[in-house]
Amino acid sequence: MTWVEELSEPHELRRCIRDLVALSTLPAIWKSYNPRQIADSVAAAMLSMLNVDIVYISVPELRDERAVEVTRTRDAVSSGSGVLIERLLRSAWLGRCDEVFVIDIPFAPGKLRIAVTPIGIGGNAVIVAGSISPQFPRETDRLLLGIAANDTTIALQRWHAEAEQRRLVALTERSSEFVGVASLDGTPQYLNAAGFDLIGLSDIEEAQRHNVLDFFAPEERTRARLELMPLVMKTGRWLGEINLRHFRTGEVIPFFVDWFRIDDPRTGRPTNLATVSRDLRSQKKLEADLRRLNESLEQRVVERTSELAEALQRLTVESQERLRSDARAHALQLELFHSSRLSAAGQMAGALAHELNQPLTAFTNSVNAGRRMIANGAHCRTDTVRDVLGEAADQALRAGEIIRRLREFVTRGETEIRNESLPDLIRGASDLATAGTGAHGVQVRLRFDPRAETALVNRIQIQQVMFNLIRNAHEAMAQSEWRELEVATARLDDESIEIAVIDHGTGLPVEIAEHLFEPFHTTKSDGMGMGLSICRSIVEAHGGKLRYEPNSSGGAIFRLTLPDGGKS
Amino acid sequence: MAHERVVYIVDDDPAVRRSLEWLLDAAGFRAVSYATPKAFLVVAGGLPAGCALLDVRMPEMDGLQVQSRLLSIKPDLPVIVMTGQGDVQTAVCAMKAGAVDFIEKPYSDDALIAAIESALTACAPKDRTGDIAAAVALVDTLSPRERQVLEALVAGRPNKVIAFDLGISVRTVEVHRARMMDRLGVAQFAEAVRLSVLASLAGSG
Repeated sequence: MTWVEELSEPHELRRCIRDLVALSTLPAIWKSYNPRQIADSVAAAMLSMLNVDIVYISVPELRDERAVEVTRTRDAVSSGSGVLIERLLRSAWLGRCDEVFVIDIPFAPGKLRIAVTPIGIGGNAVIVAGSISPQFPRETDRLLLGIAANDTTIALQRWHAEAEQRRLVALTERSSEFVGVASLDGTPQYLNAAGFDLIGLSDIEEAQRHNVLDFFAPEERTRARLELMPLVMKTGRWLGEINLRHFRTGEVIPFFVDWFRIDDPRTGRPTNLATVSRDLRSQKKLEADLRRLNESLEQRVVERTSELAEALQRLTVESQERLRSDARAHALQLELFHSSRLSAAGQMAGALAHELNQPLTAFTNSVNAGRRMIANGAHCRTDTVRDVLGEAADQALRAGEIIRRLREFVTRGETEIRNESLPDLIRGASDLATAGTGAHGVQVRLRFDPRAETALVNRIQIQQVMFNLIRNAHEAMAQSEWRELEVATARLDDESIEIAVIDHGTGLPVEIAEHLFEPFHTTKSDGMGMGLSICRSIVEAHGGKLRYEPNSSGGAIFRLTLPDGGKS
Repeated sequence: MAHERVVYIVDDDPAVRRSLEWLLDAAGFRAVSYATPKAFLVVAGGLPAGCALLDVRMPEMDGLQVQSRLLSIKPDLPVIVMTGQGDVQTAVCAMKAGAVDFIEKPYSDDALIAAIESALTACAPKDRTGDIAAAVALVDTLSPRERQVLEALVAGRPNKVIAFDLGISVRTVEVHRARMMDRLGVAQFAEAVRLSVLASLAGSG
């Protein structure tokens, strides 16, 4: 008997139609059901509609959804054996789909006829129905099981799709980026929460009173309308930075805008405009902060560098200044010493010239007068000539007296005489005389006789003498190849010591050497011819001697003898 | 004695005065000496013609001041100034102020007497025109460089400074100086100064 013949019976037909209607209402109920609830509902419906004793539904794990197994049994099957049957079914149907098979009933005598119907969502999703009725499954049973499997498939697929969509919506809504969708003419259709918030709109109704072009800052709108929107329509996408405007506050907000077109995947025709855009304020602020930080850092580096450079410059200048002022001070000291000596000598020479001019004039006049008187013969009176000659002699003596006074003046000064350390005295004089003559590159060698440590002298005066002698030696060697100056002390005898100043300069011609110690004899272009004369006066005032002898190896030797200090 | 040639001596040094009197007396002049400028100036207005021999360095009043006073009291009295050695500046001043000559102490009797003779002949400061013309002629024989050196020396500059100013060596200055003295026919620098000053007076009459 075919299932169509069975349906010819009015009772069966009515029952089948009733079941079909009942089954068709189920998907509407499942709208908010999860897979387990759907499976349970199907199982319950099959148990009530079909002449079955047990329904087992298995939905395998699908994407993130856990696997579901549901078993429903008629009251005839004790609940205790349900689990057993379930395990039995689970192992029994494996690998068998769309077929009917028979197993022994574990809890009662007889056989259980099993029908397996696949659910079309892939995997091993099945509806397994079992009955002890020997007619199972009839055609109507198969028909209803097939429809139930179909409905379950659709319900599960819809559930999965909706779950996907819910996740996407949640993501979109929770995103901090501006997400929006609009129609092709620019009417807003969707904005996520961030979208509303960022541009100051409260809901989609308010948004739909505007065009998406109004979202842009006023000065950007023309560009957006004429340039960007056509570009998106044409190429599908525009990416770039552009300013939007907050509707409430009017604040202009920089965005990184990804504006794109959504196309219908089947027809390829554009359906929507959409955007995912990022608020750049914090980024810009960060960038600006970073830039400022960089700049201030650079500025500080520049400032610090220039400070350092300035400090360095200052130090350099200061050190140069110090060097210069040291050199100046040194030169000045030397100049002072020299000029005091020179000016004393100069004043002395000036005074000497004037003082001497008078007696010399009178002397010359007298002598010439006497000469003329004698020449005139006739009215020459002897006593007058005697007077004239007497005057001449007096004036010559007067001139000599002036020179003697000057000499005394020169050697007078500080008259304190005591034991002085010769090495100290000579070193001092040498340092002073050598200073400023560095260019000559003279090698100075001081040699001190331990037996001639001290001399009885006026330190200032003898130092002046030593200064003169050493300075002369330096100047004498300015042009020499062999520039070595030796100052040596030596004990002569119990009562006197000697200081020798030995140079390797040009030496002195005999005619000069003869008049060396006479005043106004000089070999120097700028000399006065007073130095050695005064030196000798000073030395003689100390009871010593100053004399010159030529150096056998070229140059000059001045020997200065002084009374020994040790004995006094 | 047809014409008495009087020399008025003003010097504060008695020995110089005495010896000058003897010398000038022996040389045929009548010497009248004054110990102070004041003593001379008091009587100067009424003195007979002659020539004045003024010492530059005197206490109270120096020779140049005496000279300028004399110019108002007795302008026709020729003046010879006795200067110290190398006192070029004073000599130049004296010459410019109208002294007919200057002479450096100590001087030779010939130089002194020549100067006095010349002064007495000229008789008055205004009659220096002959001397001036002669000086101009002599100075004109100098090369430009030699004249520069002469002018600088008359201005009292030392050789070193002249060398620096002219951009030549001291040695070259010395050479110019020697040649300049040669051309002017003078042995003493004072004479060169005298010529130079005289020549410089040519324009001013």
